[in-house]
Amino acid sequence: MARAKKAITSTIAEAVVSIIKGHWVTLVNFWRPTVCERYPHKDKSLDYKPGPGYKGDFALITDKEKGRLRCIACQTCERSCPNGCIRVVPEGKGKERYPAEFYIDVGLCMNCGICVEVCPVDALTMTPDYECSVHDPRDLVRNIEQLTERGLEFDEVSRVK
Amino acid sequence: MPVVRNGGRRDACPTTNSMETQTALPTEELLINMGPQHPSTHGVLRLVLTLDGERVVEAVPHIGYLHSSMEKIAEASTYQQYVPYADRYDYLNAMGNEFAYVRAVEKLCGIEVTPRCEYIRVIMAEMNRIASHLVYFGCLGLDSGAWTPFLYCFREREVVLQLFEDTSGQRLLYHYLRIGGLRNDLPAHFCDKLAEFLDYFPDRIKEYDDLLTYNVIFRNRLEGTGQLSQELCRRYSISGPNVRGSGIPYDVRRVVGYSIYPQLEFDIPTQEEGDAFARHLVRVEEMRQSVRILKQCLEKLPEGEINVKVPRKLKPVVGEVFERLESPRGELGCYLVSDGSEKPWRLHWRAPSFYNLQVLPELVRGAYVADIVIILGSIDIVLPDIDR
Amino acid sequence: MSEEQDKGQKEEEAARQVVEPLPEQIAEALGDRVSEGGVLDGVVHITVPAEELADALRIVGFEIENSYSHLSDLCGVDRADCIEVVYHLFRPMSDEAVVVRVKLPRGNPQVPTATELWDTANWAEREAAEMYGVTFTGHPDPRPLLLPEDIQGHPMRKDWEYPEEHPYLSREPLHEDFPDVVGRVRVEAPPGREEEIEE
Ligand code: SF4
Ligand code: SF4
Repeated sequence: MARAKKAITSTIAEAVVSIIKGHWVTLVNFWRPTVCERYPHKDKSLDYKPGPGYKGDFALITDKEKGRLRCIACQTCERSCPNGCIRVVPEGKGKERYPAEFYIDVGLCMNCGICVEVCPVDALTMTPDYECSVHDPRDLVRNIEQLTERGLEFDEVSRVK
Repeated sequence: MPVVRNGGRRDACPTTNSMETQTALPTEELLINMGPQHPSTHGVLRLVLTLDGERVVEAVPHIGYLHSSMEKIAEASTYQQYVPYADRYDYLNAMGNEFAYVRAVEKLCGIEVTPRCEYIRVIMAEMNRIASHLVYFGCLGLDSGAWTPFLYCFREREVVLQLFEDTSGQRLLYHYLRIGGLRNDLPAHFCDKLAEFLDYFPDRIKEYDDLLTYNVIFRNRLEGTGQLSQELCRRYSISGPNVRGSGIPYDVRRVVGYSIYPQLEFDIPTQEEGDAFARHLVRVEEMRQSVRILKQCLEKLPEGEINVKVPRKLKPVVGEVFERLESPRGELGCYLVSDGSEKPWRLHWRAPSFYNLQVLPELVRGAYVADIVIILGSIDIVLPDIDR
Repeated sequence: MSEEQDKGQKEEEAARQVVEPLPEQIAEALGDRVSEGGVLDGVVHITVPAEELADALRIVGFEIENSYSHLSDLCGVDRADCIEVVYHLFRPMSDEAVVVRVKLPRGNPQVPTATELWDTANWAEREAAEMYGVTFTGHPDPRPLLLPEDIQGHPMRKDWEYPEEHPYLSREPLHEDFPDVVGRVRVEAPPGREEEIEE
């Protein structure tokens, strides 16, 4: 169904009205607060921290009482990861089992959070750190020292509250 | 439009007026490439255009630049592992894709989810519809040369994305829905924040309308452009706001009535004209309807569990399902074939943009080059959805 | 426990497999063109031989009363012993579905095109053709759609193998601890093609 043609006079009238309305809207918005952030030039109070439960960079939680990593190197996370970006090298037997090496390739990871969910002892967590960019893709592989260090500020897996 | 071809040259050009002097001038058809890297193709789409002056004689879309083997990946991952991939192909409707996939798996396994979970899923899907239509609105403004609405739309979209981030931990690719439930319950402040947003959002839509929709320049550009007849809709299985802009009230939410939609009140906006402006009006009205749905959902949101117990090694029975959902772009289908093992035997996405884009050559035939951008914007495609 | 579960699952499976006969209207209209058919969970499933496909689609889609004229989807499925092409038809504005399928030999699968009935089928058939190697006879535009021109074989078939060598994909692991993570896009040019990249 085609639209009916309009008379030129009514078009002109409409044009004037719509221009005034449009300008009114921009004027109203001129007085609204600014929402843009000049990322990464953090000039004001712009160091935004996402809330708990954010799926950012990884950390391994240390059991502070026992003084060791919670991880029992069961390798469940390694098997469940859809992209295969986790490598755990277990050491020791039974209760003493611990990860000798723990690698996560953040460059390959898609931040889905499956590895955190499947962990039977809640040893792995995702943190609200979102600034992961580096110059060399090789630096995107996190090793056990980096993961442990970042995990020191966490007692529990970061969850939405 | 009759086209007389003469080895690529034409002596008579039917689109210029038929004055004798002009007919005598030899004219030539011009072949140009639009894209793949073109700012207004919304991704990596290449159109090979045959032009007759400013008019399009023939347009051939070339797709596949973003092909990512989503369907092959499904055959190599388990049912649970595939959920985050479902986000990744129509990124503007990530929650809706998860919803489709998760529903298909649940239907295959005979899992019933809890009422609270259903409500939260619908809330997420509708919020995603608003976010997606806001991108559409802003980008159509950009395509037609209006910068400001884009920024305003993204300001409102930011509120929705922030709510998504608080809930699912991600801003674009959420992986929030799980088979048999959700990742976690809503955060404490969610309902208040959303209610606040829903209160002022309809006023903002009115502002956008004043700014863009009823602007005479914009209207003149859209009215009569890209006329999509009901016959074309039928032949090309067009769905979503595009078909509703041509006067067919086809909405999968109503037709199939999946999830809790039958219990909710909402209208299916339609327009009769079938041009770009009609499709635009349908989408704007749809945002208002989504607000209505969300308000009802917040009111009715039941308390209770969100997850049902699902075995970690999920093995559905041998069989197949075809699950249809209404995504912001149209009818989204997930065809899942199971062979009784842990991994899907075959997964196929009925991607709405894929089928909607097919009609583009018909729509742009005879239109001006500048209108291609408008027509493409008005059928609202997402390229990864097309290439999968 | 697991045995019980298995048993329960099998029973459930059996319960789900109850196939009702085809609705009269469709059975009558199609006559003996159907090689297999039934109603499962309210969805009509029809299997037809390849020669009869064009007729069957026309009858179900347009000729019977209240025809199923909305072609929602068309795709190929590799069933190990054969290649299937599946057509999902719906009644417009309703949820009543007919699934028409045709079983084809793996060797040289050929079916008539459905583009004369629905233009929808155009791209969908091109996709099925390149992914499964099905030839749609009479297709107006049988170019490949999504895949690059130089790809070998039909990648959605179950027996397709990832090519050993590819000029742009590296087989070398990026990191020594992820030896099996390969196939990333090469940063540097493949040997012998340096100039090509520099251009
Ligand atoms: S992080 Fe958890 S799942 Fe992964 S190896 Fe350690 S204990 Fe197992
Ligand atoms: S977040 Fe997902 S992709 Fe990343 S390491 Fe964990 S399971 Fe793998």
